[in-house]
Amino acid sequence: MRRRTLIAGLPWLIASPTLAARAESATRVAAHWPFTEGDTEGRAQAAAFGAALQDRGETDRQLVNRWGGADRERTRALSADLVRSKPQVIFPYLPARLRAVSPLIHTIPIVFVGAADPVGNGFVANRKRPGGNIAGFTLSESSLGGKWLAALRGGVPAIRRVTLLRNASSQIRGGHLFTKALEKTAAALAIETSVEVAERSGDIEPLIADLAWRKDAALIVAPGVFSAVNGSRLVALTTEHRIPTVFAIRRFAHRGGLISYGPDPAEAVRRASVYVERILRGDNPGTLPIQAPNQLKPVVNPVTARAQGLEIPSALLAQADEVVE
Amino acid sequence: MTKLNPPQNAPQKYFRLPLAAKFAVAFVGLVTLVLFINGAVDLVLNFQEAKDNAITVQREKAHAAAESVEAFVSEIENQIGWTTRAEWRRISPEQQRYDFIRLMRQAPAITEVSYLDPSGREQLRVSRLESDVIASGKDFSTAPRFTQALKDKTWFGPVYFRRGSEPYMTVAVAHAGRDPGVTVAEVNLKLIWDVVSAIHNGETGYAFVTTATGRLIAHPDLSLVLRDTDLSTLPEVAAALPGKGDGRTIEITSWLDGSLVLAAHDAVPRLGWIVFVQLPLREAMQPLMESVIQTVALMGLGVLMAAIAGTFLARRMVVPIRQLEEGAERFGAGDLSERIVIRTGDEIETLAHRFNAMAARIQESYETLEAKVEERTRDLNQSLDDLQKTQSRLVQSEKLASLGQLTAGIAHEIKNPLNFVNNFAALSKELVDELCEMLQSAALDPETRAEADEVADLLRGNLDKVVQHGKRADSIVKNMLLHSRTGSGDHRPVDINLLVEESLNLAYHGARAAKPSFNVTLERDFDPAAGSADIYPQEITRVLLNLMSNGFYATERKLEQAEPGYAPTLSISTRDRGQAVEIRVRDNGTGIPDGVKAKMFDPFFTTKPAGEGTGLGLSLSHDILVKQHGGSVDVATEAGQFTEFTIALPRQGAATVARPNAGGPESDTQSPS
Repeated sequence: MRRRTLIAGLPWLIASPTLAARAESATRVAAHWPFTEGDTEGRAQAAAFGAALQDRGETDRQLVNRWGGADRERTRALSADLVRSKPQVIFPYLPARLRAVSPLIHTIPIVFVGAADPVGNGFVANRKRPGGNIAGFTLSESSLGGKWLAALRGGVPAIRRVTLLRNASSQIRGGHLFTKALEKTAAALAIETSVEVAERSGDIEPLIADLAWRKDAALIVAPGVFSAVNGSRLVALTTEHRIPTVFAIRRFAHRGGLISYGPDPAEAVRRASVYVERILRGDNPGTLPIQAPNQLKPVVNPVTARAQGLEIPSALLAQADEVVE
Repeated sequence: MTKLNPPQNAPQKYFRLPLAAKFAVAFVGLVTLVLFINGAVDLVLNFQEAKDNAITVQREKAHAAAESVEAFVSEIENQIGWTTRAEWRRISPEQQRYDFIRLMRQAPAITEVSYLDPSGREQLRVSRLESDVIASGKDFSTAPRFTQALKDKTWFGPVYFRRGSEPYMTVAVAHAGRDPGVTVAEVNLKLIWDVVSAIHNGETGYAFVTTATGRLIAHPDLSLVLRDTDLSTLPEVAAALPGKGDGRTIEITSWLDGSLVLAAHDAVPRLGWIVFVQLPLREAMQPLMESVIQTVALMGLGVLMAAIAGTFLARRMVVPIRQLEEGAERFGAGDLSERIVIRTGDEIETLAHRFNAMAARIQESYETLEAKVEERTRDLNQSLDDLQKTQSRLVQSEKLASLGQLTAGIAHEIKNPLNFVNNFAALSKELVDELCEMLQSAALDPETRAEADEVADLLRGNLDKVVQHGKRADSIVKNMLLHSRTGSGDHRPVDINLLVEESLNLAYHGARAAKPSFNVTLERDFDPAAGSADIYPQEITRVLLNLMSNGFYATERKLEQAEPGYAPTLSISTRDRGQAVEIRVRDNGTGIPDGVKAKMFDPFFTTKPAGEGTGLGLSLSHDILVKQHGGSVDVATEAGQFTEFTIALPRQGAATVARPNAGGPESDTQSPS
C-alpha cells in the first residue's frame, strides 16, 4: 500500500516545479503595440490577436498588451521593460518595435508583424529559414511603390506630380523601400515624384498646403507608425484640399481616404497568432519562414471621390475588393 | 496398533506444492494460455483487418485529395479560359486589361497575369504587386511557357519561389483559334493551403502535395512549404516518385518528426504532382487499440475469474481429500469407530467408501480376534484347572497306591492271626458242645446244671459271634488283598454270554447274601451270535459286577422312596457288533442327575453315604474297558427313570492293547462300595 502511494505521488513531485515555474511567468505573450492605450484601431488589433490566440487554445489571461504609442523614447523604454519581464513570446507590431526589441534579446522568441524587408534590415538571415529567435509576417512589398502610383493614376488620370510620404522607419540600405519601384513606374507614366519624410505631425500641414497649391499633385501615404497615427488627420486634410491620396493602410479608405491598397493587418495578426502558438508549443522560431501577405486588397471610396469632384474609372472599381459607400 | 511412521527417505528440503495450488496453477495456466492464444489470434487478425481497412480508406482519401487539388488547378485553368477566346486578342488593350483585372478578382491565387501575342512577345502584364505593364515587348517565344502552351494547350510550369519563400507556379494557356497567343498566370501556391487544409482525414490526419521531384508544394503546416522542403528522402515519397519508386507502396512509415504514420498517395497526372494522405498510426490504429484494450481487459477478467474459480474448485476438491486424510489418520491412530462422510459423488467418495469398508473389516476382525482370545484364555484356564485337578488326583492316587501296598502287607499279617482266631473259635465251640454232652452225663444238681447250661449257651453264643465277626474280618482282609493285588491274570477268548450269566448270578446272590429281603426282576436278552472275545475275564467280571451292583443299589434306593407298584428290574443284553461285542446293563432305578453324570467316571467320586463306597468302582471299570481292552463305555440315563450302561468290547481288544505298566486296574469285586 505504501509503495502504491509513493508511486502515485511521484508525478506530482515531478510536476510541481513545472507548475511553480508556470505560475511565476504568467505572462506568456507580450504584445507591443504602436498605439496608445484606448486607440480604437489598437484595441481592435489587440482584440483580434487575443481572440486568435484563444481560438488556438491559449487563454487571453496570458496575453499582456503594452501600449507604446508612436513615441520613440517611450517605445524604447517599454521594450527594455518588456524584455526584463521575460515573457515567452514577444509580439512587436510594426518594424519600430521590432527594431527596439531585437537588439535587446536573442533568446526570447519574437514574432513580428509588419517589417517590410526583414532580411534587408538584418533581422533574419533569410526568409525560408530565419535562423534566429525572430519569425514573422511582412505587410508590404517594395514593388507596391509602383502599384500605388498606378492605382492613383488609374483613379485620377490627370495627376502629374506625386509625393510619397514615408516614415522614418522604412529606411533601407541604399535608399527607401518603395522609392525604386515608384520612380520606375513614375518614369513610365511620365509623372514627377518626390519623397517626403515625416517625423512629426507638424510636418503634415506644410506638405498638404504645398500639394494643394500644385493642383495636379497627388499623395501616397506609405505604411508606418507615423501614417497610422496621423492617418485620420491626413484623411481630413487631403479631403479638405482635394488632394487625391492613396493610403497603404487599408482602414483609411474606410475613414474617408480616396484609395487604399495594402494588406489586411487583421489577417497578418491572425496568422501571427499561429506562429505564437506554435512557438509556445515548442517550435523553434528559427525554422518558421517569413511570410508575405496573401492578399493585397484595393479599397476605393467613391464618396470621397465625389467630394473631391473626381470620377472613379470603372477599371479601378473593377479592381477594388471593396467599395466604400 | 502401531502408528504409521512417515517415510523417512522423503526429501526434506524439496518444496512441496499443495494439491490445491497445483490444480489452481494448472487451471489458471490453461485458461490463461487459451485466452492468450485467442487474444493473440484475434489481435493479429484484427490488426491485419484494421490496417487493410485503414489503408483502403487512406487510398480513397488520397484519391479524393488528388481530385480536389486537381480541381483547384482546373478552376484556375478555367478562370484563365475566359481570356483565351479566339477573338480575345482582337479586343482593345483596355478591355484586355479589364479582363485580366476581373480574372484576378475571380482567382485570388493568381498574383500576376500576362498576355503573350502569337509571336511570343508580352503585350500586357497585370500584377497585384506591381503597376501594370502594357506592350513591354519582352520576348518569350522560346520560353517553355509559350512553346509548351502552344503545343499542349495548357502548360504547368515548375514550382518556384518568389521573395524567397512564396511558392509559385506558372500556368500558361494557349488561346483558341489559329495562330494563338498565350495567357500566362503566376499562381501563388500558398492558396492550395486552403484546399489541403480542408481535406479532413480523421482527427489528426492530413494531406500534402509534392512535385514530381519530391518538393513540398502544399501542407497544412504552411511553414514547411515556405521553407521549400524536399521530401524526396522520405521513404513513402521516394517510393511514390515516378522513375525513382520501385513500385512498392509504403503503407506505414515515419514522418519528418519520426512519428509513425499510415500513408497513401495518388498522382495528379496533369501536373505531375503527388498527393499524399497521412494518418498518424496512433489514430489509424485507435479502433485496434480499443480492441487490444478490450481483449486485454477481457483476458485479465478471464484470468481473474479463472483464478477465482480455480481457487474455489481447488479448495472444493481439496476439502474432501482433507476429510479423507483426517479419516485415514484417525483409522491409523486406531480409532475405527468413526466413519468418513463424503458426499461428492465422485472417485473421492468411492475412495472414502473403500476406506470405511476397510475400517469396518479391520474392526470386525479385531473384535473376532478379541473373542477368540477370550475363548482361548477361557480354555486355557479350564485346562489349567483340569491340570491342577488331575495333579491333585495323581497325588491322591499315588497316596492310595502306597496305601494299597501297606494295606496288602497289613492284611497278610492280620490274616494269619485271624485264621487262628477263627479256627480256634470254631474248635472252642465244638469243645463247648462236647462239654455240654459230658455234663449231660454227669449228674449235677438241677440248679448247677441250669447254671452250667446257661454258661454253655453264653459261651456258644459268644463263640458264634467271634466266628461271625472273624469271618467278616477275614472278608475285609481278603478284599483288601484283592484291591492291592497288581496282576489280574492272563487274557483269553471267553464266551461272553456265559461270562455275563455267571457275573449276573454272582451279583444277584451276592446282593441277596448281603440283604436277604432284596428282590429284583432280572431280564436276560442274550444274543446267541455274541460269541467270544479275547478279554481278561477276571477284570470284565469285576466291571460287570460293579455295574450290576450299582444297578441293584439304584433300584433299592428307588424302592425306599416307597412308590407303590414299582417293580425293580435289571435288564442285561448282549449283541454281536461284528468286530465288537456289545453288553447293556439297564436298571429302572433313580437314574443319574446331570451334575453327577459328568463326574461319575472320576476316581473317588461317589454319591453313596460315607463308608459305603470308595468312589473307585466306575473309575476302575472305565480304565479296564477303555485302556485295557480298547473298548468304550457309554451311559444313557434319565433322572428317576432309568440308567443304561453300554459296553463295547472289541473281539481282539485285549490282544491289541498293550498292557499298561503302572497301576493296573485293581479288583473291586466287592461291588457297590
